[in-house]
Amino acid sequence: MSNELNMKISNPDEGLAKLEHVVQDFSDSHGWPVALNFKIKLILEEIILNALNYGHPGKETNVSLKLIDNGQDVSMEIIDDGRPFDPLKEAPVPNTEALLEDRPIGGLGVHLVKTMVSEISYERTNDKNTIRISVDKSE
Amino acid sequence: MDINATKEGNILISKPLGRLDGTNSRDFEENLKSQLNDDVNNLIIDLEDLVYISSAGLRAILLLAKTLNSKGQKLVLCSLSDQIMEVFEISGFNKVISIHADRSSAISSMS
Repeated sequence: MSNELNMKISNPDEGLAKLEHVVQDFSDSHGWPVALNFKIKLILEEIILNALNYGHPGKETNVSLKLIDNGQDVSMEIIDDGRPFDPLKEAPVPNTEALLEDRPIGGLGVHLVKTMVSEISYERTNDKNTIRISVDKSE
Repeated sequence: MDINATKEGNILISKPLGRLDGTNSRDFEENLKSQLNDDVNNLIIDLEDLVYISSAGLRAILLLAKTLNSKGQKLVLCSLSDQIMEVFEISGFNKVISIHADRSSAISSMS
């Protein structure tokens, strides 16, 4: 079994269902513990759905994913052809201390991702957004 | 998704099975809202059979909590796995939504 997974996604609903199957198969064949499996699926859903839902209003956005299990860590590269969007800077920062009635609805996805990764970076090159993420498998 | 809703007195109890993600969270929220009425107006969501939740699922639960709270009614969660509890803690939802270890303690907290 290869330690690398590649896939392309352009439709949120179909894409998320496909992502779930493909990542689950990869997780099974690499013996990922439940906590790592959960974390990787969550990170990928948040980043990829953000790109698909906000990438190109009214137009299809194409996302490509490359995921590698290096043994020590899992690295992911997510590239999309949507409008420039740096979730690390532009996503709203949620107030996790606010009272229930004041809780904002947005911004939680990126907040969860930032908390769960060991490294994350954003780059805009050749009219594409690239997000690179590394997750330490021992955490 | 199957929300497995049952009624106990004035409490609606839902035990969603599987995943609460970007594909089904809105339906989950709408489905539960449609089953709440003047007679059945408190909600317990038992997460024992939930294996995954993303921010979309958190949003659905937050919206249900806000709706019930604004009417003076309650939303209580129970039986969260370690991974789901961690997501609630990172989001700070554990500070604003009541979370119980199991269903019987969730039901007692309603009375």
